[in-house]
Amino acid sequence: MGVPVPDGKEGRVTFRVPMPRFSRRGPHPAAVLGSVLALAWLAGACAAPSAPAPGATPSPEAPASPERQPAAPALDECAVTPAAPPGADTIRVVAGSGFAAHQLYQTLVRLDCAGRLRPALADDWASADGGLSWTFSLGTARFWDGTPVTAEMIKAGWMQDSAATIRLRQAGVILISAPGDRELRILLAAPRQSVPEALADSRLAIARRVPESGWPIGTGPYHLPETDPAPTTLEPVGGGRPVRVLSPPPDLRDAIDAGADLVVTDDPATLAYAAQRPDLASVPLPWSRTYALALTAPADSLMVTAAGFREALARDAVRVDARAAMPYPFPPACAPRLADPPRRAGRGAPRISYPAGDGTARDLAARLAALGVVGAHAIVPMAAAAFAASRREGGEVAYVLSLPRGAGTCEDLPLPPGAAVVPLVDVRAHALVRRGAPPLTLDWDGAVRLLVEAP
Amino acid sequence: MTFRIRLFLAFVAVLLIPLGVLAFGVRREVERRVTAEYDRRVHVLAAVIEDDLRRQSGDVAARLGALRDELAGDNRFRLAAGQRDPGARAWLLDYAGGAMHLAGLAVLLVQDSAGRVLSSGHFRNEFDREEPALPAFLAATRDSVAVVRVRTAETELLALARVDSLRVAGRPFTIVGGVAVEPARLARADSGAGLAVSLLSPGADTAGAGGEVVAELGVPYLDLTRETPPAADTARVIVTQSLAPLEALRRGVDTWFLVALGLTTAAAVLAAAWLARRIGEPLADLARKTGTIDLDRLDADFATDRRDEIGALARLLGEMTARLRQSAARLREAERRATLGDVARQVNHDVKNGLAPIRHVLRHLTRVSAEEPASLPGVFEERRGTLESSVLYLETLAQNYARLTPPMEQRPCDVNAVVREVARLVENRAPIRLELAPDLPAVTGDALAIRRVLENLVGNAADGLDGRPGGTVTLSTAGARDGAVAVIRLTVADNGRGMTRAELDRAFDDFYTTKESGTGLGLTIVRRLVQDLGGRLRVETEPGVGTRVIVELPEKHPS
Repeated sequence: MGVPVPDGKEGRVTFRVPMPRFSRRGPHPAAVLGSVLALAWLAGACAAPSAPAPGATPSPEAPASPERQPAAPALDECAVTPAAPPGADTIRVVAGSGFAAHQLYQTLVRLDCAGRLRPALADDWASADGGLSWTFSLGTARFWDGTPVTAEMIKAGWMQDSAATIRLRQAGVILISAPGDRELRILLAAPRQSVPEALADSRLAIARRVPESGWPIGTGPYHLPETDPAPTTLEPVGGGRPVRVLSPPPDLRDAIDAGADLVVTDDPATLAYAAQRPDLASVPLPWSRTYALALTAPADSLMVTAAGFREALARDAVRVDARAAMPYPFPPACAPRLADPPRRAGRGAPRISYPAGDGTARDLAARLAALGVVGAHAIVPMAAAAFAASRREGGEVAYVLSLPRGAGTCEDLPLPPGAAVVPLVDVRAHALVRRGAPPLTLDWDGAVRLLVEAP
Repeated sequence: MTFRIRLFLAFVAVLLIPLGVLAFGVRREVERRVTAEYDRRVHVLAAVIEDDLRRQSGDVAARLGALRDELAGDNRFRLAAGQRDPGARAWLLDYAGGAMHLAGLAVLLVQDSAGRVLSSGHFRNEFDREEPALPAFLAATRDSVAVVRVRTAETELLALARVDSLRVAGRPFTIVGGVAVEPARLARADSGAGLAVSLLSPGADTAGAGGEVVAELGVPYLDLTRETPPAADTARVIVTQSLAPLEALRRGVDTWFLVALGLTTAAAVLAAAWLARRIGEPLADLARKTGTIDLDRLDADFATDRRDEIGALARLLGEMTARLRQSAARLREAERRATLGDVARQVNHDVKNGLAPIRHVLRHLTRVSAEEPASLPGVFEERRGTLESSVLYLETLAQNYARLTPPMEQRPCDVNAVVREVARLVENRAPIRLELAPDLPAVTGDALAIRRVLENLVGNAADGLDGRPGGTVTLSTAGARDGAVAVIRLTVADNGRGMTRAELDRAFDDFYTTKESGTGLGLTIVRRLVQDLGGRLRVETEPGVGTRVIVELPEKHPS
């Protein structure tokens, strides 16, 4: 096993370990180990993110004291720091649509891959009144154009964004004030012992609209050129290599062969190919999605509730990196939607439906159908809304859902009303990092953030 | 039944019966040939299907053999299946899917000796399911065509399947592969002849196959989609024949027959109408002309330029009419001569009757002059009246006979003027009323003869009034046509006593009269004068009502 060696940067740890190899189907602890081993060739490395306790919200253990919080932990196993010298002049990335936003905009705080609160725009925070009032210190944060970030700007930005105000209301925030330029205070409806995780929601990222600028100005380490109509090229704010966000080709292995420095994917063929490449490391991202089975019948007596069954599903039925599902942290507001399902006579042969285009959901549905779970022997692609309508008519008996882990609200989940939901497997993607790529850090929601390279 | 209908029926009989026979024959012959061609195609198609199934089955066996050899040499399979290496399990689970597509199969299963599915190509996630019946069934049907119904994740699949086996690490394994049964692809050999190929599961009804089953092939069959343990059965590949093309052919023949029938009927109607017009109308015209012929009307014109039988008939009728005219002339001459003989005898009789008193008076005077000369003047004066009356009788008799043979002139004659003159002469005998047509054309003929006709008729009419109060004689003229001939119609009507049928029948007899002072020659003279003028005469009378005598004179004398 590797030995952690401080690299001299605060809050970061690098590992020097031999033998980089990606293992797609290793058990969850092995995946952690695999991700560590995968970075052995990197001068700097990271530890694989360890999942929080099953069913736990991401942050309970993060704040140590309700009154005064440490700004950051001493070690950051969510950071990946290649030791190799920088490669090409441009960093080429193939990732999801949210990648660029994560580089351009920041929230007050963020949740790292282990679910711990990390400073972002706010470098410190403290609570008062038993957790009813929270005050954030903004430090020296600036927008791309050098304008210092003030508390009034944050407050005004949130108030002008309806999505942000809704999210704040869902988080229990009832008042926002700016006691000072660099001090933001929020008042909660109910006391909390920790900072509301909602403040790490990307919908509460800080941005400032400037009339003559096409894109809102952010506070991230990268900014967009004025002439770029799409976020395809990200320029570093403080100097360094620019980032070019590439469109994903039909076969992601082509992107690897074309020299992409960072590829985020869960495609098993691509991950298997990357495992054969000595210049790439496969870094597993946090478990970002849970596949669950929505049933029209009570699931208590079904085999799907057995842990061994879920482990078999994760091991054999799906082809992505998966594990037996941990208890899913449904928001409390979802409880009425998860009531006992109605018992209705089926119409025709029962089938298990799944979201069209989701291969993992199809694999799970096929396995359940092969085993005759819930009496269905066939599957059918179907939208969640169509399933709800079909279920009301006594049609399809089950639906394989794909749920994002750490969803903020119940509205963010495609839950059929009145269905029993049984989590099956958790899945995650991997970041394929080429030697010479910039350092990066991983968040709880699977976001990959590039860190500005040292000049 | 009219001549036109007879012609139409004749055409129908001549045209439609052969047409119907032709249509029936064509339809029967077409059906026979089409049926024969269908039978040939069915046999060819059945042979093609059977051959295609065998060929496909052989192809599957060949591909399975290649997969078997490749799998037996693959260490990953040895590790996963033979050594149960968990690290190679993922490869094994995905093996069948990739191999199935590479081999062009629709079904691929790798099973262990217990029938447990180690890897499935058509249904990846059915691994670990036990299906021992499948390899056993296929092994029992080795080298022959067999069909299995398997389940995929989404649906069910019919496959033409074969089985092969291999031994790895001392353990037996089976590999089952198949291609999807595509009856529709076989049916392409049908070439649109209304034949269809279907694969029916055991117990399936052929009613839904869409036609009559004309060929059938039994195929061993195993259904793995049932909840019950699978059992070998027999499926049927059937060839059905749709009767739609044959029905369409029949409808086509019938349609064209009906079209021909309609056209033939229309042609028959037109031909019948044309022939009826061409033949019937001339015959009707001949009949009409012939119907007008009598001894007084022999002027019918049968002239024609037709060269056919109708022309010959018209010419014959014309010749016959001409002969009739000659015969009528001779008859009239004979009649005239006979009449003259009668007249001569009558004259002889009348003259004798007139001379007899004179002879008696002369004998008496002679005897008186000899015996009693002195009394002769007295006796003469006594018998003078007898002599004078006898002479007067003879003079009158001479005048009457003179009227029987009037001379006839031919010159234009104003009939209205003649009527007015006659009316003036008789107006002291009876009231006369004139109804004369203005602008009446002149008649070519003898004005004196016309006057004599009118005098006789008006005299008879005046006599017929018998002095009845309100009795009137009406004289009228009018232009008219008698067929193609323009005539002048003279009418003398009275409202006198009229005539009985017997009187009318004898009215034109010579010397027949109902009047005390009549000679009985008036109407005889009238009839002959009218005939000599080329005209016609007819009498309409009713006792107690009156008599109407109508004389039609041609504007131009036919001579």
